[in-house]
Amino acid sequence: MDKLAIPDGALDGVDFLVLPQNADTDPIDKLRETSDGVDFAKHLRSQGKSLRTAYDFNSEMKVFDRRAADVWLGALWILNEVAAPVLVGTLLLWLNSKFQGSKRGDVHLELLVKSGSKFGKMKFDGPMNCLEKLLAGFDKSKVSRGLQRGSSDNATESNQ
Amino acid sequence: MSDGDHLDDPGPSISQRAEDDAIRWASLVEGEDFASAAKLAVDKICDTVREVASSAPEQREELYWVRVLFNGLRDVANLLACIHRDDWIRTPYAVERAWTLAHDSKERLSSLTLTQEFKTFCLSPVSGTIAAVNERYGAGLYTSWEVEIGALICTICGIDSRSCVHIPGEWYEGVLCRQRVDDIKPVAIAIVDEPRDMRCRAWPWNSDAKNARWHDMPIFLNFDLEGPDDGGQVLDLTSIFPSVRTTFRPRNTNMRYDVMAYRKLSRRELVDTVRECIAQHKLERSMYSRATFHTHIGSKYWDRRSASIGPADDS
Repeated sequence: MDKLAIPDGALDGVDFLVLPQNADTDPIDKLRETSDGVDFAKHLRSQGKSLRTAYDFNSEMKVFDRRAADVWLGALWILNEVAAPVLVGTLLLWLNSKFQGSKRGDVHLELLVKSGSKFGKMKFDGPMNCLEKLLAGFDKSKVSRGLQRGSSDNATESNQ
Repeated sequence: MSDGDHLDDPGPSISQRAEDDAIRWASLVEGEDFASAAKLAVDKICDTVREVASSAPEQREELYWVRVLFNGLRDVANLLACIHRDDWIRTPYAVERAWTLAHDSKERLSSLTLTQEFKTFCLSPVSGTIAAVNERYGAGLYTSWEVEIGALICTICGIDSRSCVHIPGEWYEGVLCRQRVDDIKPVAIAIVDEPRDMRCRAWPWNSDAKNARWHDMPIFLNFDLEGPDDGGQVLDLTSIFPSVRTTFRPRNTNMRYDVMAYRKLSRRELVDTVRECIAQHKLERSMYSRATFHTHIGSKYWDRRSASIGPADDS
């Protein structure tokens, strides 16, 4: 991630990053945002989520578009563990509306979750229903706890 | 008329007028007058384009969807005209056109909120066409290109869409937000079985099996839900089906052969075609006194002689 030359403090308060695949390993001139990743980042922004994309740090970043039925999302970085269920829920809804019940096409993404000072990484290439099963691991109790914590934080802020 | 109704009555609403025209379209389709149905849709699109120019911003979104609807209905009427003939599935032009029209109309009509009954009425010939093509020619292979894009310009604010707040597909004061691609560089073309655009299909008549080569495969098609400003066209069946008749009467016989092609045939082509058809269908002279053959000579694709027997024509 150092390759993106992210300024100090630029990620303060940011929950997610939508970055090109291999942003943590490949040289910056080889990185390309995916068109699906760009669309998903716009969708997250329209939902009021706090995120940054590679373009925010490098306005020369190009977009790579593949015209197949598959969806390439690049790498989704979850910087705030509490926000993970929100991202997963939004992602699955967005993918469902994109596929519209069609069984054509796979999903390709990397999911990186921050825990303390470390990142756990998962790479996925496969059909939408498999992704749904995998991400069901973000169990509902944790999702609701995360959401409650988020809303109680907001309530505290608004009371101040 | 109540006291409240006066001469400045604005008349039927946009959606009411669209509904009335859609009902007229459906009755023309039911009467199998597909050309008139397509013409009605083309005229309605032209009217809508004119109306947009003088409309208030808040009406433009509704007019846009009316335009999408009638583009979809024009596609369905043209599709029905194309598949109405029994030989469409054997005719390359017709298959290609039907396939494109089926996917165009499916994309347009699926983007609209229509009653289930009307949707089924419109989309059943579409799904039937797709199934018929897949049954005869297989699920197909398609092109899928990979491109590198320098910028995605937002049509609302003119800056890179990645850094603005506008959402593609949303309306902002009567203007539809889109992403305009800038600085585009093709990287690769892949042959896939699950493409994003089903219109980019390879057809058997575009293959040169001997040299394992394909030609005339679309890589990218520019498709807009709202279609062209001139409303598009009513399908010209003579450009799809062989429709030029050349008659051949062998000397010293009472035989008559009519050969239907895309252009008038030379005597040499005519004789060769008839000879090939007779051999291909193992026809004995005692079986017939006149016959009509169809050939793809003159079409863009099948310059090699590939003829099939048609029904005897007594006209």
